[in-house]
Amino acid sequence: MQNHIPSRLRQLLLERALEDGGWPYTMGGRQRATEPTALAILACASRYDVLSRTQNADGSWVPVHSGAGAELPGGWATSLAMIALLRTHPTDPGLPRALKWLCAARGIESHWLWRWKFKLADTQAAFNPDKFGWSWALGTASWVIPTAFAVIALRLGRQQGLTGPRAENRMLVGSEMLVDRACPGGGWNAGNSRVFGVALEPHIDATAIALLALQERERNEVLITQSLDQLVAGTRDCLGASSLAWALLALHAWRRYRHISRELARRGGELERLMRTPERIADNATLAVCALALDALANDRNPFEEKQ
Amino acid sequence: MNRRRFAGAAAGLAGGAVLLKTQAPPSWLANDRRPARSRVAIITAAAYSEKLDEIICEGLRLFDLHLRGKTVLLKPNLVEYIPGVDVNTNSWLVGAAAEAFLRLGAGKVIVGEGPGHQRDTQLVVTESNIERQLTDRRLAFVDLNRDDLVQVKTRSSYTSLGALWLPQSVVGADVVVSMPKVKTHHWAGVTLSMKNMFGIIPGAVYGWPKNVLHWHGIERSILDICSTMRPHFVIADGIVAMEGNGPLHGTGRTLNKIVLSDDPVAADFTCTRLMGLLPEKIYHLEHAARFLGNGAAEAIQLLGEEMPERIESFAVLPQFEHLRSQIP
Repeated sequence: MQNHIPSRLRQLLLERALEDGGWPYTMGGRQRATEPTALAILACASRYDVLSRTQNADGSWVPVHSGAGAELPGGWATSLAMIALLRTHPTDPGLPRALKWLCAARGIESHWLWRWKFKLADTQAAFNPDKFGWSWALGTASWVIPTAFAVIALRLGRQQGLTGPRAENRMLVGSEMLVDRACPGGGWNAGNSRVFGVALEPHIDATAIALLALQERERNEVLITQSLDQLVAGTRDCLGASSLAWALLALHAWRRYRHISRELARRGGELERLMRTPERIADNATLAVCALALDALANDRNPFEEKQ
Repeated sequence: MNRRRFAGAAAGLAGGAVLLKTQAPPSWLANDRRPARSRVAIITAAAYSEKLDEIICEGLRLFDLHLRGKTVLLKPNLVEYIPGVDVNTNSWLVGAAAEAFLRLGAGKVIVGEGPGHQRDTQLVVTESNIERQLTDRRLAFVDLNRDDLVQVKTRSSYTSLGALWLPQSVVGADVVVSMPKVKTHHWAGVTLSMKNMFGIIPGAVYGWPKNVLHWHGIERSILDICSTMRPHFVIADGIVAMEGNGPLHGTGRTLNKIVLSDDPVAADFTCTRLMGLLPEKIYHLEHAARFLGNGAAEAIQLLGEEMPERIESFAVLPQFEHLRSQIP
């Protein structure tokens, strides 16, 4: 029997698109947001031109267009817009500018002054400030998810021949930062592995997105093995559609290992169960990532997989 | 006055204004919004159950609130789900508060939260059993991390943010109710109704965690957020509170108390006293009591029960030992 869920999700997404293009975060919202827009473009193979139209002059994208005069500065969503463009329109003239912006953006701990502060005075959260990545907002520290999205965007840019030595260095240091921020037993959360001496638990979505960024590494690395095991165990009876969908995309990208491949179908069945009444899901980014995950399972199309 | 004197006086005035703006305590420059008297009700509740519907309704009646047709936004504290640990505002209390506001005439009750670390809001809402209350009581939920945005100028200047991007659902609500879990906090000392307002700050703009606020100073950010979007009412969950290494890794502490108030500062001072800690030694509380609400016991009218005669201080991390009213 044919699985109609992904096409139903795509149809719902298209119904929720804004008149002038793009998607808001939530059903009924009026402000275009870059994350759901980029994910929906990937899920629906939709027109990418809204991304081209909304790119800032400096190459970045704002996370949300408030449409009220004052606009936010560009930030973390730039990586997602780049991934969508690299997959749908890799010759877009805005991509080199975006890449330049992304290479220049960095967590504030990369500055020597803050690096020393974190090494000498501010040590409650355990991390190595020499390993920096990307922040959510300019002028703040690096965190796992924006760093993972940036590394994925740069890797896909490399496949298109867009990157140079600077981007290579950022990918390397960014990947090292992800390894440094991993939880003691594997997996990732927002980016604090240990605070006040207490080990913190991983989150499913952060673990999945970090594993998508670290596809070049080998599974025999302890961290990768532990993190994949965390993801498999953590998604049993998972009640969060977004988390489960990101986990599916990560497991799909690591399906070359047999036991991961076995778990894929099971998790796919669980996601389909959560998607029985997709109309109830208000969040458009969640709908889009669920459509992408089910599509990866059914058709082997995973936009976050480097070999695609 | 000749031209030279006038220019000198004008320059002096301008210099004075700059000096005042940069050097004066921010509370001097914020409008004094303290009510003449604040009302707080401490109410005993034995457990989380359906009985809370009646308890909260009776508690709210003490305040004689005018709710007819108003939109009420309940803002619980949902951080993340940790099995076996009381981290979040209990779902029974959230459901009971919604029921009580509707019974007292509110036109609409919405539950809204923007978790600070966990990006999958639906996962937190489901795992913390809020989803069940939403379904059973037909309540709407809004993910404050991803709501449409409005830019609002800050009403104090403890940080240099100048303006905050806030969710339209919060700015548009007639009554915003902060519903914290009574907990110690490893950075701010305590997390109560004021710290709970961090959750209205949208992650889509400020990140997960809302790191911009950390860089501006957690306590200072609490003050600017609360002066800009002062919660109208507080229902604090102290039935099972948290002591020690809160807000996530502390130990459950049964207090069997719910605290209601029409003043977030008075609510937080009272909760802190119930925790056996000294509120005036907590930076954001001490400053809030200068302009935003009442902290002094004589300005707080207790509508429900009296403060317990004997309070055993909550355990705190070593850096907050000075907050304990009884040093062991």
